[in-house]
Amino acid sequence: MMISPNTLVILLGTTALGTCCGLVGALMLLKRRALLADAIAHSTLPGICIAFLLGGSRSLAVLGVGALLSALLSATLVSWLPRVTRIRKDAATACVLGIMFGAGIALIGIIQRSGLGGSAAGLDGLLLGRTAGMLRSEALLFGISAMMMSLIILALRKELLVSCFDPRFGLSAKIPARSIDFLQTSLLAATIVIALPAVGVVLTAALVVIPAAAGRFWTDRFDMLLAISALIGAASGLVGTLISSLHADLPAGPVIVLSATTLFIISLLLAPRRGWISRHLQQRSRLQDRQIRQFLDGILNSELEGSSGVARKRQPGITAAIDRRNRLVSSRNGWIKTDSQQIRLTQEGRKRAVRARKALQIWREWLTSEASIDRDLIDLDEQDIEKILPPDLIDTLQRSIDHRGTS
Amino acid sequence: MIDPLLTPVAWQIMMVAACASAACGLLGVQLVLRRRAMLGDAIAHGVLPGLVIGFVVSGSRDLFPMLVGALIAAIFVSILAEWLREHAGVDGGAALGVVFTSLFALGIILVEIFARDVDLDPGCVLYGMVEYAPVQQVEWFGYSVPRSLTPVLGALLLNLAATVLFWKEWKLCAFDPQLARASRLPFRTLEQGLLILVAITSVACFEAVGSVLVIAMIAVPATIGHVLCDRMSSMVIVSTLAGVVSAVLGTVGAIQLETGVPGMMAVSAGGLLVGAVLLAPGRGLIPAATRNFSWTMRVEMEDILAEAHLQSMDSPPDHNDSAGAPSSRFFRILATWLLWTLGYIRNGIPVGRGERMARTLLKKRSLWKRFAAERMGLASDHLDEPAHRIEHHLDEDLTRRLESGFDSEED
Repeated sequence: MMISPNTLVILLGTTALGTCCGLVGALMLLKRRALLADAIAHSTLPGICIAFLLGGSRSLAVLGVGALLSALLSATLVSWLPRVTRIRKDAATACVLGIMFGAGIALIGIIQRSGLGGSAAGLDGLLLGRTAGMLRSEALLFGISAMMMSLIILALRKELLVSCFDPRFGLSAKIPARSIDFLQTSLLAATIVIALPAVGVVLTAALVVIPAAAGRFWTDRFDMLLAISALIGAASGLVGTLISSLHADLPAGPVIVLSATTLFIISLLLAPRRGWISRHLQQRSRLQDRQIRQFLDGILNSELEGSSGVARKRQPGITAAIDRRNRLVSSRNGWIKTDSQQIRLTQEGRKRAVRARKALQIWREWLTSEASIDRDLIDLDEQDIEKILPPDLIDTLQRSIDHRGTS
Repeated sequence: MIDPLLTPVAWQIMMVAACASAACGLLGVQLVLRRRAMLGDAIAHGVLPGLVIGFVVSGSRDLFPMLVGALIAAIFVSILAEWLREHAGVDGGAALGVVFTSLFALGIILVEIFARDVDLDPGCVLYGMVEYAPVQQVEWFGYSVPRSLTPVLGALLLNLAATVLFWKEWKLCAFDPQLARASRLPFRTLEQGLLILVAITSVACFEAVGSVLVIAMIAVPATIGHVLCDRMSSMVIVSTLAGVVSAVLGTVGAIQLETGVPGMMAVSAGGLLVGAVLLAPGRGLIPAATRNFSWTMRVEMEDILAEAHLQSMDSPPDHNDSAGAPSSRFFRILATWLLWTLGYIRNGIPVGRGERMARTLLKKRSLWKRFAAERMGLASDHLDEPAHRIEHHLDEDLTRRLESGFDSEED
């Protein structure tokens, strides 16, 4: 496979772009402002049109300044409207988006009808983006600005962390919350303006939102989220551009976004702990643990009542499959011994069943005495209960149970 | 200027646009109340793959299969975003963002793959063709109306019926979802029904007026209603009206400026929103600022008059400037000028109405000081400052009651 130098530059450019979008997106996700990116991206349109009408040229610098100004204006409106009126954040976002985008479309109409030259192609290109036709100088420009913005974010990591999670603390620690907030918004606006020519109005928002949302599955830590989100953004920029350079008929913007989406789906399914599969498995294993606990408890009960074991018949209220699995798992772990007719607990199994029963008793006691909590919470496993309650409290509760037993 | 308004073509465009924005505005109220105003935008973008698949499967440019595809995609967007939010723990906004942008990207790629030889222009469906509404006509009871009026009017009637029918239920779901869940309402079904209605309406309107309009018309008129009204009933009416008015303004504006109707409708709706935010009675920015200003001026003027009065009586001013509400130099100068212009003060002595105002204020001040000292047991050195604040807020009724309270005590 040959990669021409031109492609290489574009590749580097989109990778840097993806990194930058991922970083900014992580900040926006934490501030619950993910859709602000969409609004800002749409509202660059009137700025671009006005810059075109005033500047009369299609040079990226002129259009970029226009886009940046109208992006900042709309970002300011979105954060200002909910503060001074009763309009909520989502409605402010949607309104600014709709109005600005509508204004942009109307301006495009005016430009097209006034016959100012080949504008239609250039401005329409901004709606959907055109990585394929990206010039080398443009790619270089985007790459460098994206890298610079990523560096700013990394340098101000601590301040941004505070402003995302605890702005009040930031105020007391003399971190200028307002300026940090404004800096974040400006970074978002600048990122979007840079990404705009490459991926277009709608998909820019995707590049900001998706990597961060995917990264959130993998971690609960701020630094890690920044890193993973940047990584996912970079990877999708890289892979997307590669794929689209191999298939000439595929536009790069959508391919980049779909690569990010693929990574999102992978994260959604496979991430440890927060991923769908692992959550599903956790739920299943909890359920199984509980069933086995009840199974052992049942045997313990009948042994305490004096019988030397339980007949090999199914316990009530359980399907045959679950019963079989209960017995299989228990005997594999050496908790029960099965002879021709009876199931008996081994030493080990007895210990386990008694421990579970005791923990449950303690939990119940704690709930009714110490915490006036709903009795529904009683249904926990012994490990959890022993983890939640401090040991000395367990002793006290045990004593109070014993005391009640004797009196 | 009136001329273009009167052409039947313009009337027909306006009619279609007005019905579409009324239909969107009705649902917009529900979405804005539920903090889901962005759903319109999401659906507008997310339907693209549905349109393309509908086109590819049917193999024709017939509208119906494309609309069915779009409808399925729209329902998919709303339900998938909801699922991600509830079952995968993704932030609501981000969930919506992930779903619709991904679908849009997929749609563009599908267009590139399937429709490049064939004449399918997604822009035609997405960016609005309301200007061509009058081209195709159908007969209704002997009248010739634009064909695209049918789906739009259908959506409007459907939404109207749903709003009236589920009035109480939707209201409860919007304002108190917990109670709605607890009171055995089919909460989930109602909310999903609303999402499906949004999908149907958006798709019906795309064909007629384009998605730009749907994005703006779901959010903006309802927000205007939200700014202006305190009740859901008035909010519904105001939102619908705002939608219709912006349709009229948008059509006229578009004809004047020779540009697209949907864009101009969004702009005029934006103008209405700005007007509402600035002028809303009671809580608009301008009424609020006026109220603040006139209050500040009153306080300043009363303070100046009272001080001047005390000085003219040769009694020492009983408070230094630091007491009382902190005031800026600007307002003080303005108040002094105003007093002089009104003739309330001459040569540093309050006269006429000014003197009456000064006396009233001083009376209130002494009444409050006495009240604070006798009834609230405040220490004597703590009397001045609160009295200087409260004196401006005592209305006639309260003054009378304070007086009569002291009088009855003396009896």
